[in-house]
Amino acid sequence: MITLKDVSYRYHSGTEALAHVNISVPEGIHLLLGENGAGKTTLLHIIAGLLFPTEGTCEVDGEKTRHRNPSVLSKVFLLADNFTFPQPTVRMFAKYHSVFYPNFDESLFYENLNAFGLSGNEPFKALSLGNKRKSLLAYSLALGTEVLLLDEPVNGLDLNSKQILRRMIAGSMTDSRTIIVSTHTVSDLETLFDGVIMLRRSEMILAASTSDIQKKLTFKKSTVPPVDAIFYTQAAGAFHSIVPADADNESDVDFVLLYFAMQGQQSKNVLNLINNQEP
Amino acid sequence: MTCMTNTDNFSFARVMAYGNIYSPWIKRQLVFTPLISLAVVMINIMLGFYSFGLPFIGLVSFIPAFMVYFGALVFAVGTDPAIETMLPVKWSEKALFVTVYALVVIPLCVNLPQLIVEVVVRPAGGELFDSNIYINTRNMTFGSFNTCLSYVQQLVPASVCLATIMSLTSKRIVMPVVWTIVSLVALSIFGAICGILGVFKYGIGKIETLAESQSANPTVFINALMSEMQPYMMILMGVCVIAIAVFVWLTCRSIKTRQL
Amino acid sequence: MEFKQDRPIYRQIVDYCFVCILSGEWLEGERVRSVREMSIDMSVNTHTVLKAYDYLQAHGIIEVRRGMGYYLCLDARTKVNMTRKEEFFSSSAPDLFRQMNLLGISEEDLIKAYREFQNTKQA
Repeated sequence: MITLKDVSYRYHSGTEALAHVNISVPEGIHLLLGENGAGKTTLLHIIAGLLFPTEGTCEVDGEKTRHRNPSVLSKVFLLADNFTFPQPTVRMFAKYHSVFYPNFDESLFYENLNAFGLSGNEPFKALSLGNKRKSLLAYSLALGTEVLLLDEPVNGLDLNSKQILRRMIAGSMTDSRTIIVSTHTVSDLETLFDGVIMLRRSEMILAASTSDIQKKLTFKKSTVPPVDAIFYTQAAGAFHSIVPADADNESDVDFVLLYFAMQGQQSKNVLNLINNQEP
Repeated sequence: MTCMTNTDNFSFARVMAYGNIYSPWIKRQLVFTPLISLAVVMINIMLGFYSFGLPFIGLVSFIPAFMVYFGALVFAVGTDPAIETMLPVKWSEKALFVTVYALVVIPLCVNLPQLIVEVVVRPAGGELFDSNIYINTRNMTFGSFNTCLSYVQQLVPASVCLATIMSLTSKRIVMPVVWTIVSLVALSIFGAICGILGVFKYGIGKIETLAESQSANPTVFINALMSEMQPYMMILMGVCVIAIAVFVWLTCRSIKTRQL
Repeated sequence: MEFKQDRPIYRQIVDYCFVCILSGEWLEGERVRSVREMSIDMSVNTHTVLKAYDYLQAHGIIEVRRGMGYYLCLDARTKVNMTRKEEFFSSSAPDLFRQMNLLGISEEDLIKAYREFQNTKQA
């Protein structure tokens, strides 16, 4: 469980990257959505212990990440851009790096590499960006940390690899794991998300589980304008709308539509519906 | 590989595992540094047999010095500061490793082979080395305050290099090299000023007298001059020690509070 | 598995299970894939699979054996057919009827068309 209490982060220049964020992120796969500059990277860095909150506390399993204690850091890993390491191959990197992470599953690492069509013995520097990504994803998903933060994991992956990654992420989930995926391309991993966290202009505007959203909202696609929609957009002759849920018509969550709904004046209505305790 | 403990207590096993992160470069450095240093010593001894060899000895001696100054660069080659910061290792363990490695281990690897000259080669060689300029100059200063000073002086740029690498999150090779060279220049200037002040304090006239009277025995002359300059050398030593302490403190602070 | 946009994913998983059951790929009385295994195969989150399995459980198609997992009920095939019929009459049929009302198609037109369809099929 990741808990942020009133977390703010301000740069030296005074700009606020995060403002009074309060969330508890339970186990599961969560989508982190927000426009560029909304504070997603800052949030991930704070959870990983790379940044210290200017105000408030960030805890993983009750321990503050800013103290950078080994007991906390061994539970968290952030994979953002492809990173470099002094070893020639990713397998050799794994040999020295994984000793610090008690739940590293070596056979899963090789399985993941295999699924991506890699051996792990390729000279890392010579690999294409996509293959570097795959190697590092294969490793990160086998590291076994309770918290895994992925920043734009799908970047640079071909269609086939995206499918493989979807399956790999689903396969790496356990009851005690939290994976947060920050991405703009929601559709690639949409079926996996147990919850969503939305940031807008350094503030958190929504944090809810997929099942809660499904109970309160229905996402419809129709050729005629919807009558009771809280929010709708129109694209290519079709209307995508959000209506209050009715028990017979549960739909999957359209995170992108929900995100747009949370940008405008209707966001209050949407929020009220989600947070409303009545079934 | 056995897994590291994840307790929050200090762990030497973790210190060593942290060092392993820098393989294979760190292992290569540990092997090649003493080898290169030894090679330089051999070359210097060879050169020392010839009177024209002296300037060349000075040239070649850059190499061991640079190996000490830039020893900490192994922590910047190909590494990612974010991955390093996220490692489940206590900041004190990281700081202990990098400081001891860059300021004790590497200087030892560089200077030990050269100490062999004084301790082993000279007595073993006997008369063979009587006319060897290199061995004789080394012998003159061995064990004196000034050798200590030269070892300590080496550590100043080395600690600057270390501190810069640990505090930067980008350009972790270019900027440390620049700052190390700057510190080297600053140190040389400061050392030169100390030397000049020492000479002037003592009085140039006195030096001329001393030189004339001791011209038959250069060793004694140099030693006498050195002992007169002692106070200024003490100042230089003090400044060096303080500088090293400051940069080690900066290193520790950077490791503990680095944000990126 | 690639999912369509027009139907909730959990229903598409249910449909997939129906196909497995009716084709005989899943044997009655045998263990079916666990929620976790299914979620990996389908690349969806476990809640979605759980919903699908809840639906199948509610219609008596699979049952939970404590400590052992999900098992296909002995009369699963009949139940699947029953469920599909129920679904037809609760969603597909009303759509058809609505269209009929809209276009002014009568009961007799429908029966006539159905009989013609059956004849062409037999021939």
